[in-house]
Amino acid sequence: MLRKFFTKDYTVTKRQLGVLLIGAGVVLILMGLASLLGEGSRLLQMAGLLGGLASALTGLTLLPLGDVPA
Amino acid sequence: MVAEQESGVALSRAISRGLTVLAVALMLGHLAIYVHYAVGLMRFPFDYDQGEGFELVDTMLFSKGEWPYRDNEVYPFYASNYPPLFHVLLVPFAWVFGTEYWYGRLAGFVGTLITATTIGAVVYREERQRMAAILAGLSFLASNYVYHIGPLFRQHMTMVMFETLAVAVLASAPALADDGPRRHRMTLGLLLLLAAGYTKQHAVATCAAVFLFLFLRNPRRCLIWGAAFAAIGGGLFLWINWATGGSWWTNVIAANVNEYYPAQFVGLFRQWLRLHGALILPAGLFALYELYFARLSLYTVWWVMAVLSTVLSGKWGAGDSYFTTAVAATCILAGLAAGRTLRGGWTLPPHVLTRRLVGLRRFLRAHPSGATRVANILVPLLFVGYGLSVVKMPTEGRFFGWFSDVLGFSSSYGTRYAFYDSAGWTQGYASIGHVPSQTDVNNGWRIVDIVRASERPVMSEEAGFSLQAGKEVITNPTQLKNLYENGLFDPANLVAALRAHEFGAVIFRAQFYPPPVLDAVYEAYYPAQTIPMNGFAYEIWLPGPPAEQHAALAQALESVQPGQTREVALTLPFDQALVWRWHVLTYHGWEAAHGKPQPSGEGGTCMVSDFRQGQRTVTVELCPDGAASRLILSG
Repeated sequence: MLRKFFTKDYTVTKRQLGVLLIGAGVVLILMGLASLLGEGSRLLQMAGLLGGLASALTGLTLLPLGDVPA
Repeated sequence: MVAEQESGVALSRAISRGLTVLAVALMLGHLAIYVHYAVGLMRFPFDYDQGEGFELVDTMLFSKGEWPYRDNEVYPFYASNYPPLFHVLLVPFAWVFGTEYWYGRLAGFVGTLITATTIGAVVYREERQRMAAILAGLSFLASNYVYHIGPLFRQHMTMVMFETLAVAVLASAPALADDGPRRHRMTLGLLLLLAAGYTKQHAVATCAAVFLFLFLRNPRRCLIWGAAFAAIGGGLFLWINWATGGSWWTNVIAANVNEYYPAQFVGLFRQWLRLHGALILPAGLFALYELYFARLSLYTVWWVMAVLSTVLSGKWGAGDSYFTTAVAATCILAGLAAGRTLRGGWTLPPHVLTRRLVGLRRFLRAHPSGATRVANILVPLLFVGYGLSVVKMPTEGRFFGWFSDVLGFSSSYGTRYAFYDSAGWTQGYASIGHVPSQTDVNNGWRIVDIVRASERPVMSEEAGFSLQAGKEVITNPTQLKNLYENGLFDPANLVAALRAHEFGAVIFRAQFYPPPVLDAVYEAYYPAQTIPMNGFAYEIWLPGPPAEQHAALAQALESVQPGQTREVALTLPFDQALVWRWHVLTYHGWEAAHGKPQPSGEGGTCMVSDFRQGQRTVTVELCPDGAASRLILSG
């Protein structure tokens, strides 16, 4: 799979982009939740959480598009 | 029926044509105001926006083959916090014309024209729709943010120019089938991207966009080109850091970690949405279309990253300029959306989502002329809406005074500047845009005369006065402040120099120095006069009496009891001592009591007044003593 990923003609698909966005979203949500326990701007923590949520949701909507090139 | 349809078509065509003419007229009007402002600034021989003079200092240092990345803790306590390319590009101008502001401002202005042309060219290349291309390019120049910063001696718009050129070159590179042309295009595009990064650090968002796009198109190519890019960019970085003994890292990276104000970002983001909403809407829809119904282009990925990067506008010292990359990307997407709409080029490929839009497809197929008519009206209407939301103009002068009166616009800045700005104000938004007056120029030269008259160097918050006086520029205040707040600047040497009166004067505009430096100025200098220039009050602080005389007064203030008298001899002339007396008593926490100073002594040559601190009151009498003066404190 990895070898195929790095071939000359390989293109990332909408589904893979979706997975990428879900991953980034989950990381952002976890970071936002972790920072809620500490100090820092509440506004930025909420922005991080909402941004993560938006990224994950967008990613989810891309999953059904399957192997269409991203 | 047919006649009715024909008259409907004719009417919609007439409306569309009228709106298009109005949109173009509005954009050309904005361009004319922008050119007027740019020419006005190029004639102004001092700092217009805080920090311009330091860009000129950097240019002059490069023109002499010297690095501006230096040790801030030794004389002249100066270092730059920006990468070198913008200043290096201006070196030939420095060799030919010397220390001048106009060529840096001209470079910024020309950079915005190149960016606008590139935006238009991209839209035309992709959509072959001339009107959309023209409107998209002009929209960039019409933005309040671009207007603000475009003709300044700052590197930001040159960065945006390189970013836009890089995106224009790289967008179609992966699609090229032949290896040779693709390699050439990739090389050129990445060199332009490197140029953007070495013009200003903020280009990092565009770098991220480019490599994300390359990754989506082909991960292998992204990895190979990314490694080459990192090797060249990183190698340059390491070389400059080595050549400057580590000062490059301290001044360009570490010094840019500033305090963050979320409210500043939120205010600016809302303002950006309000001003550019008419373009952001089609740009956002275009991005969604590409996400779900087509392949993501570099333009869309760039737009997303540029908008995300605006979060950095909440940093101390940042502002609306941090939105200019997003404005350029928005203009491209809005132009592409407009062009595709006008030429009827939208398609819905058959996949899982489009199957659910069967009703919409059927409706569009059944009413093709209706959809075209609506589109032909909607597209110019959006640009008209945008043109009306970004209105700004001078409110004085033979033409603009009359024109602003006709439109009912008055200055947004009261008597400070004669300038109307629909943007309003929010924290971080630059309060500029007016053309400096002849009074501003004259007052600037008055300050230069003060600097020239001093036998010693002058520490000025802006470099322009020292540059025009032919003197060395001392300190880069915001740089010292940033470094101090990050624990990277020990102000001991500068404080000692101030206490020893090594500077003939200190010129303040906003007092953006580290607190210990400000305290040393308050202690060793006094505010002798204030000169207004360009809407700001420039305070000229002159050296007070020697430290021992100051200490003697402090000791007398501390010890004098009711019924006692203390006398302090001052080397300052009487008129200067009179101003210093008020400043030093305020500095020690005393406030004036019982009104203004009154004449006293023989022939009324002395001045006497009372000062209060809590329950204590002292009477302070100042008398001339030849070329010096005497201060008598009575408890």
